[in-house]
Amino acid sequence: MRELKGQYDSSFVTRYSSFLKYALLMLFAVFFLFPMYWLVLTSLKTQADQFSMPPVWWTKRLTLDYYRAIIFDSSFETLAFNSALACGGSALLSLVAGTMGAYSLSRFRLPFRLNHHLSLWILSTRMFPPIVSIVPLFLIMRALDLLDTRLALVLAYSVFNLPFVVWMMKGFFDELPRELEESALVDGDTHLGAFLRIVLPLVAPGIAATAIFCMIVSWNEFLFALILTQTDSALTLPVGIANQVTQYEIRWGVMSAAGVVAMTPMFIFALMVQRYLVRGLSFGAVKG
Amino acid sequence: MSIRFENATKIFRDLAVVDRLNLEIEDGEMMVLLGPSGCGKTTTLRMLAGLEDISEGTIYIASRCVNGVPSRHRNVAMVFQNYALYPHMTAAQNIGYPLRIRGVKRDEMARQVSEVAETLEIGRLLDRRPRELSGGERQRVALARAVIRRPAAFLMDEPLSNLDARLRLQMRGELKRLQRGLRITTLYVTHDQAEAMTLAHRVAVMREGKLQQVGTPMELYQRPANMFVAGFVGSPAMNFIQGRMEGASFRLNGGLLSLTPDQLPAAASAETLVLGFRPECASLTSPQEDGALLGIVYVTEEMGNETFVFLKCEDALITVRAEAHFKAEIGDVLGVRVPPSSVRLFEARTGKALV
Repeated sequence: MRELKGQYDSSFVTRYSSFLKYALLMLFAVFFLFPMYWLVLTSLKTQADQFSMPPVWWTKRLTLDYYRAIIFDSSFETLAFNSALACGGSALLSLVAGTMGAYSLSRFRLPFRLNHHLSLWILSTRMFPPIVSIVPLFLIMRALDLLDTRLALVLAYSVFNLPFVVWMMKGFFDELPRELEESALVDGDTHLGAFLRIVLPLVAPGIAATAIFCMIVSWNEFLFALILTQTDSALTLPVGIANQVTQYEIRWGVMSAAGVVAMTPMFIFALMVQRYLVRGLSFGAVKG
Repeated sequence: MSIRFENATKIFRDLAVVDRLNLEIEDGEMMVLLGPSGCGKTTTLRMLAGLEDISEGTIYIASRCVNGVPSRHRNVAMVFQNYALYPHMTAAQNIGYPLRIRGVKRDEMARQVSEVAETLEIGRLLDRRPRELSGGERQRVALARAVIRRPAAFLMDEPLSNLDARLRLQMRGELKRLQRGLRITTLYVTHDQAEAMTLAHRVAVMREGKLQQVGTPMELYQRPANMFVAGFVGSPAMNFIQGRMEGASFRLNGGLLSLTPDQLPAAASAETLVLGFRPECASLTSPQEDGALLGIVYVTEEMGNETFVFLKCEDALITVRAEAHFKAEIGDVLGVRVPPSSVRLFEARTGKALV
């Protein structure tokens, strides 16, 4: 590495490349942040400004009408509640089941190379697009009389998140030295005790990181919610927001305001656990 | 408590990693399992700890058969090579963990932890986490965690191998004092013969899953049962020279060596022989001297208090210990005199010791 560095270490090249790096990063930032800015702006603009041409890039004529509209609309609250339940419930379910499954796959040697085959099989369920599974899923839910219920969403999201949880967590468990649990066993603990007292606290950052990904996926999920739910009793925010595109008009203001509100909890949550996110994704640091 | 292995066998995929091991460790004894890596010594230890199943045979702890008994009910404590301290707990929590599981009251636990910490001189480190401790300190915390519950036996898996050389010597002494003081039965696994010699009451040498010899360090050193033990125990290793009998003498390529009368019958029974002697038993003389083997100096190593001279005796490379001020140049021809009484004879084909 050192020789390589030396070769290019003229100050001109260094400065030029660092300029290029920052320019590129700026470009990315604009690319990703502009839609957010536009969303927030649209949610605050008056209807006249929303449709004016050329577009209004910046304005002082702001209104909170759309926020008022959604906050005092009881159906929005219902949708938010449905979303939260489907998202939280499925994250919890897939984390509990996935973590334990991953631990077993990481620690116990099954005969016939089943560890390998099971892991791949679990992964393979992620390999086809969700749309492929939606019809069978719909039929199953109908047979179970679960259509248009929040439970259907919890189950569907869990199934979809499970492979992700298993593979993420398996990576964390594989990194953890086996001797820690063996030491706990010899010290007098049961296998479950060692798992709860030694293993879980050590992979907590990994669990946090995995949980965030699960929740973001479920919170934003559109397709399953569209097909499996119909009424306010189970409809989630993404579908509810999309329903603002009606036969006669597209309610940009309401949609944008709802979008901003829907985005906020995940945003705050991700900021809160950002520390764990970084630690979880670069796990080596946890080892003693 | 005493420990007994009876035909204990561990089979991994048709390979007997530990092959019908019979070994008894007396109450309070420190037994060292010595052998090169892959000889089955760690597997033996793990079978005793309950971390590996026993394929065949029986293991007894305090005359109780522990086959199938889970680790937590065996009442043994283990010190791992990498210490296996719990990274998310402080030293005090690590040491107290075995008590916590057993539901010992908080203040009683704190009292015992500080008592053990005093013994191991880590009282001031109790609030730190493992990553804030040095290698030697981690080692002490791991030992404290093992000591605190007064187990039936200590199991130690190369506990000193992660320390630097100086610290290793220091901890070796402390470990010995600790074990002798507590008189807890200990099974200690190592590949370092110096550790085995210095720590053990008795040493069990293993090779490829089979027990080679059990005995006190002195017995192993002076009367090795075969060439493997002879070559593994002692540093520098024992010298081996191949040859055959010629009347009452041993014909080496370089010369003739007369044997003592009690060695003769056994020597006569074997076809080809290997003669073994320790570097400190031989002495260097002039090449003209009668009965001396001829050797060409290969290299010399001055240690300060002694000098090791390596010589080529025909095709064998042998080591002779000389005094500190001994001087020789590479290529010098010297005589090596080996007193017959200090010689061990081995059968060349099987490696077994004769006599």
